[in-house]
Amino acid sequence: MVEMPEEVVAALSDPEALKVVATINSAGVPNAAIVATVYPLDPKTIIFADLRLGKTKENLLQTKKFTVNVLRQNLESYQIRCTFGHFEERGDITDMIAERVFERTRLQARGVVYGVVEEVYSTSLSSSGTRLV
Amino acid sequence: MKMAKLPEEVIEALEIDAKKCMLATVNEDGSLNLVPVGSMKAIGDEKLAYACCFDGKTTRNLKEGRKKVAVAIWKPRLEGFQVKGTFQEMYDSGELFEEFSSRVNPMMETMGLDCKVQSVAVIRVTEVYALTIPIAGERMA
Repeated sequence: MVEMPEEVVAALSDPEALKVVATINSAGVPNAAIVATVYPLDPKTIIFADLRLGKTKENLLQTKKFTVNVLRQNLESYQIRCTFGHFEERGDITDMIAERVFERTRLQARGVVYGVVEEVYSTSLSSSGTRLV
Repeated sequence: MKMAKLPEEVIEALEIDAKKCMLATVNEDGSLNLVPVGSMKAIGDEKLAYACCFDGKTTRNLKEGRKKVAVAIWKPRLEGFQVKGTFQEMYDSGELFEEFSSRVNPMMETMGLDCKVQSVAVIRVTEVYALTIPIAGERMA
């Protein structure tokens, strides 16, 4: 478990940033989905809503790994590798996220995915591949 | 080898300047590498290609034989697609390489970046899915 640098937390908190979650199944096939609800719960924890996760959720249960990339409008970009923690269907955080999601999309979140941050890299063009933590 | 054709709306999305693409490859330890790729475009309706400007983890993963990839495509403001594919070949010369070099190198220079196209990677499309809410996950091809 590591702590994300401030600039990475800021990028993940940016509602205008593009956020993609990649997972992998047990046969080694990657999956990449746009997940606008990715959010840094704290510097060590990433959460996102289960709206229509489908394959992402299946893969998390199979292999317990996921990677997030966040790309801001100024092209600042970070890759955050995580270990899947757990799904939460009920709770204060889940209720808060579900409320936010419903306000924006009119869709009901089925729960929240928790991930533990393991590695963080810059994927901005000027420093792509540099490990930050 | 399993193949699929890119639907017209995916080809159109890839032609938009404001689109954004992210490419997932598989690392040696089974974790995922996920990076933005600005130069992604369709080559006909069965292949994607992009410029490799850094000899980074993505290129290494493909060259080392972990060929399965997934590409998330975001089209402003609220559309998305996922293309799954298999890495086919890397070109460091020829028509495709010249085409990408003439398009991407000037953009890098404009951004003040001291890097040029080193090679062009070609991906054969195997599956296509919608990523747009509320139909995210539906298979398109």
